[in-house]
Amino acid sequence: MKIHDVSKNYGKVRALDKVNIAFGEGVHGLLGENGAGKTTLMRIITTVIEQDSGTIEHNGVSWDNKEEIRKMIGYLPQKFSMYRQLTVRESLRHIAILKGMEKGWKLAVDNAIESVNLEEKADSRIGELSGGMVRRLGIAQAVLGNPEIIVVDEPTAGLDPEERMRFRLLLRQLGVGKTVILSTHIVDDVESVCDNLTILHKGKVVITGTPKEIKSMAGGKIWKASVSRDDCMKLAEDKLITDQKIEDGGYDVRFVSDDTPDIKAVPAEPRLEEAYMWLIKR
Amino acid sequence: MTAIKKILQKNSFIECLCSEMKYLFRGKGLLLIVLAWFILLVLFCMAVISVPTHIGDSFTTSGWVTQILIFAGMSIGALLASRDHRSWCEETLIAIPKVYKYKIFSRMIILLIITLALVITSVLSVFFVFLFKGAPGIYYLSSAAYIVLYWTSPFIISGLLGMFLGQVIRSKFIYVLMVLTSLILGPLIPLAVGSIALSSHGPLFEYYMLFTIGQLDPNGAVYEAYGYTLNNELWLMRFLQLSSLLFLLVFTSLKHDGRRKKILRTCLWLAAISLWGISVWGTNRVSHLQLERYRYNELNEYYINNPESVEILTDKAPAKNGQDVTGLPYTIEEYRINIDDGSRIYIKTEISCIINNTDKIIFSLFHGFEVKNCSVDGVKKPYEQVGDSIVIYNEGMYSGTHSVLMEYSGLPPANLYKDEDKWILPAGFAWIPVEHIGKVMENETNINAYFSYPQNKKDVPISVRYNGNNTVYCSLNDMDENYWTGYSGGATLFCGWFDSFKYGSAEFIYPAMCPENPDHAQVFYDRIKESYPVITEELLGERRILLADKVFITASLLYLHAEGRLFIYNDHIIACLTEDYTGRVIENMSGLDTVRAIVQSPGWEAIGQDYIYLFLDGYMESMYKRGKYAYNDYVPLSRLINNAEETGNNELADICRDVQKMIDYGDSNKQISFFRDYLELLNNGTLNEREIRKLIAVYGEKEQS
Amino acid sequence: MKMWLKLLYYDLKEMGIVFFVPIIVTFGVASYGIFIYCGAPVGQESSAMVTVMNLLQNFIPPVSSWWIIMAFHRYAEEEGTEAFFTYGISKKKTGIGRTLTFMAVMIMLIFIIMIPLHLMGILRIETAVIVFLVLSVQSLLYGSCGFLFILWFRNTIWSITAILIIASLNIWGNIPVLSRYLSITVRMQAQMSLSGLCLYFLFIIGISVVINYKGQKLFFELGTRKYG
Repeated sequence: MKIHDVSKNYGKVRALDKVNIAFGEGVHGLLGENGAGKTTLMRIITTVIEQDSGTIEHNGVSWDNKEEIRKMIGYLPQKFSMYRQLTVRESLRHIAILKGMEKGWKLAVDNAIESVNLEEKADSRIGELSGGMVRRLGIAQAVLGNPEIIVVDEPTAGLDPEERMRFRLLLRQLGVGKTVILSTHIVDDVESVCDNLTILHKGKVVITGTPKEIKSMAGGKIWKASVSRDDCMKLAEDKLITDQKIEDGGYDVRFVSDDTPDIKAVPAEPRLEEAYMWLIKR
Repeated sequence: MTAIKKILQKNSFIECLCSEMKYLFRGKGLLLIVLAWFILLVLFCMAVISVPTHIGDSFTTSGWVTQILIFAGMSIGALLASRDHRSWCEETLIAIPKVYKYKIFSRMIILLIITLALVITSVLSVFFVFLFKGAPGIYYLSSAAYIVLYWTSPFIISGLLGMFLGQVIRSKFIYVLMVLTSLILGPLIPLAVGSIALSSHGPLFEYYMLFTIGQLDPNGAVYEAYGYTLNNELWLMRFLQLSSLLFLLVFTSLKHDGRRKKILRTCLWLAAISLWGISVWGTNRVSHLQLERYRYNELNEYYINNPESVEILTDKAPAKNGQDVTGLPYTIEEYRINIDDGSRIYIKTEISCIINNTDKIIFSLFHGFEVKNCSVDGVKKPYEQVGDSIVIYNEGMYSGTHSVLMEYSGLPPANLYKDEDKWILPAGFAWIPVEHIGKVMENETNINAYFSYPQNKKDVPISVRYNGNNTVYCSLNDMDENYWTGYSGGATLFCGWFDSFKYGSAEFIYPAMCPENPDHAQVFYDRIKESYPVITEELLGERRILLADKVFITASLLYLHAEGRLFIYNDHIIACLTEDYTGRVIENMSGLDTVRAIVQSPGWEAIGQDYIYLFLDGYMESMYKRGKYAYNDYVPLSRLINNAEETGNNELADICRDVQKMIDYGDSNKQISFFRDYLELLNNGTLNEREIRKLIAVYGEKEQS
Repeated sequence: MKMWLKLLYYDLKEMGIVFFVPIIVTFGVASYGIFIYCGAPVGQESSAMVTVMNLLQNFIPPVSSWWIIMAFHRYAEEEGTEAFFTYGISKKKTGIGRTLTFMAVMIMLIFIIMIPLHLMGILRIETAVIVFLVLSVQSLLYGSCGFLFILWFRNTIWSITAILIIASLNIWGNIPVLSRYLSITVRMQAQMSLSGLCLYFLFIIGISVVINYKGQKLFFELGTRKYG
């Protein structure tokens, strides 16, 4: 899928500014701070809203042809729920039929319920589910119908650690033969699941690459040191501290610095989160 | 069956519909709604059972049901439309092909299903109450139509409007719009504000009904002659409004289809606005047609602004209104009338007349009928229509027998036409050209115009052919289907909620919603037949037998005459009732109203009401006490005496007492002479206290010791 | 007091443009009544006065529920207000206290419109007092109903619809049972005796108290009902 020079304004606010991204097969992450334009881009890709300029196309099909595009997409928005009076099974069945699944929808619904671990709650009404369970339901409905492009916005919000692990596995499996676009704040998800990553900042693309490539860009910029409490506070005034742990009366800190720092510090292997923070700061 | 089930299961639209049905039946609100509807129906049925007047009145005053259904429809529509948004699944559903559209359309079907449920439950309840109350058969289907037009169509229209608002507006402003729209569309504002403003001449009163989809007159009673207001135009307007909203909803369904369909969306929006605009125009037209206050206002203003409807167009001096027909240089010998109905009444009248040397022929014809064509002996002639007069010109002089053909169409006054199948054309009202110059209605009171009864010099052969599809009753003799002939001063035609029955040789045409009419009408007819020869002999000096063999009983033809509710012609009778009709009223009309119908003349307008009632009440009491009238249905003079004393009119009280003495103790022949001379003074317009005292002095009796 | 006013200020700010609805309706109806009175034919001032009083009675009291419904809709209907139920502020103040405050503002508005109606000679002072009292107690009742409905239905649209239905049923005078036994409208006359109305006032105030009590109870339980 290719996004070419896509822009979107909300009044005077430029939400997206000539965004160019190419999504291939596999899982592609979208990382950015609040207001970076991730959700706007998600909504444009899923045809909920329309871009002001630019083009998007996938396998020769343009985004002007909305009905065709919608047949290829599965979407889990940031805020998701379903009709409170329906049960889990009923709502998935509803979505399956809406998606035009002619054969095997029963099996697909059962598989979807199983894949998100909602078997016990399959016949419970949505109004009775917890927030995390509703989230799982959202993932289940997104994958129904075997769409070519799956767009998920903050999918693991509200999931417990065990579920988050299962979900990552699911996403990896889905990424085989499909395009999965994942928007998240949880860098661990991006690192463990995504083949590629795009960082957005104030509506513009900062960088696109694999997590390894992005981490390597921050090579030599991340430092670690052991300092006293006072030195830590002094350091924090000047440098961006990315991690700190209390050790033996002092702090083991990691921080970002373009130049060699004054204090006694050694270069550290950049983490993805640190690379992201360095890129944004830059 | 399995195959059908499989197809249904696969269909996304059906799936949307099933989802909406589940929402409807599983929601907590359904029970409350059903309970509320049940209570409303019970209240309405109680209104039907307890209504003291016609059953139909409980329908025509059911604006409160309409208004509640409008509120409910608007709410249900808005809630249905905003369901996805409130359930946080709108974005998800937009991303699935066509689902956004299917949701809208399936919700429209749900609204339709609810509407059908409303129709069925209300019609069944009402029919049950009708059976319980023994309502006349005419009420059943028409009440069902009323329910559809005035209850359920406003419900679905407001529901669709609510859906549109719920779809496009997400802010709190939707509540303001919902309330405002419900009030504009419903009969509450015309009821609570319009009638107030109307009576106090407040601003904008005529605009309150412009947008209404409910009752045009929330206070209105049902017309006995015409039934409910179910004009075809109203049905058409509802259809246009529904179509307009359908276009609007299709427009919203394309919201997420991108810019490609902008032209289509613009066309839909324009179509919706246009259709609604046409419906407003149509409603305005019907309200002007139905609401008497509009047409009476126009009629009154017409006669106030045109006190004399014609300049001197004749060689003769202008005749005083309603008099001196001998001054006209022609005599009508025969009428041949073709009539058709529709949005107007279309009449083609051929008049044979003997003309005596004139180059102008002037007829009187109600100004509401516009003459399209005029010819004499087959040759088109120039003519001029000025107010209630039509003047036909000729290059030379007319002389001898000629045939005048006039084609005209239009509407009679408000109380005589409500719809293409609800109209009355009574004899005495100039719906056919008559030998007369001047206005055909009076408005001396400057309150409401009334008929002045221009009449031909003599009875003539008349034939009437009706070319429409409705059931029409005519005062002439039935010759064939929709063809009547007779010998009369004029013809009366009734079309509306009427039924007929035969009593001896007489035929009675009466309002079908008054089943007790037949019994009382027979009593009424017998009494008139009995008293008619007596009254004509005593007051007119010539004993006449009642020949009228058709009796038309109708609702109050308001302002048909300044006074009087009974009109006796040679071949038929028209009896007008008050709005608070009960069967007893017909019987009670056979006394005083018969006298008035026989002897009243235009000269009475110059006389005060007290002296008119002195004559009528006095004569009736005299007849009764002399044994000439067997029924104790007259108003005794003592009431007039009491009223005069209470109002301090001692002069009148004295005169009444003297007349009472004459009636109680006087010679029969003297009494008859007294009343005959009294009548002459009334007809001349010269009656006053001095003249009455003279008569009393001549014919009165002192109290016997 | 300062905090109270601040709470109200935020309530009104949150309402946005819809805040002005009761003000527009109250002044609009009063203005229309003045137009009607001024346009009445000579000699018919007395009946015009009665019709103006009925106009005020039909339209002003129902609108008193508007602010209350809009203020509570945020807690009763909208999502994301869970935290409100953890705050230490008194539920009485934020519940019945807020309701009564809005009703007091409404009564103040009614008082304000009575001034021009009296000064223009439409209502004599005694009549103006009675009309003011009638409108005030009816506003109290409708406001209480608004309070109860929004907390009971937890749906703004249904609450407004219910108020409109009650108002309609009271305006229409020919409905069996309702018009005879359950109507709260007063038959306005040119001369009205205060003593005869006292019982009516007590009755309406009594009902309002009961409704407010029920509403307050629902407000206390709102958190449980919504999230339990």
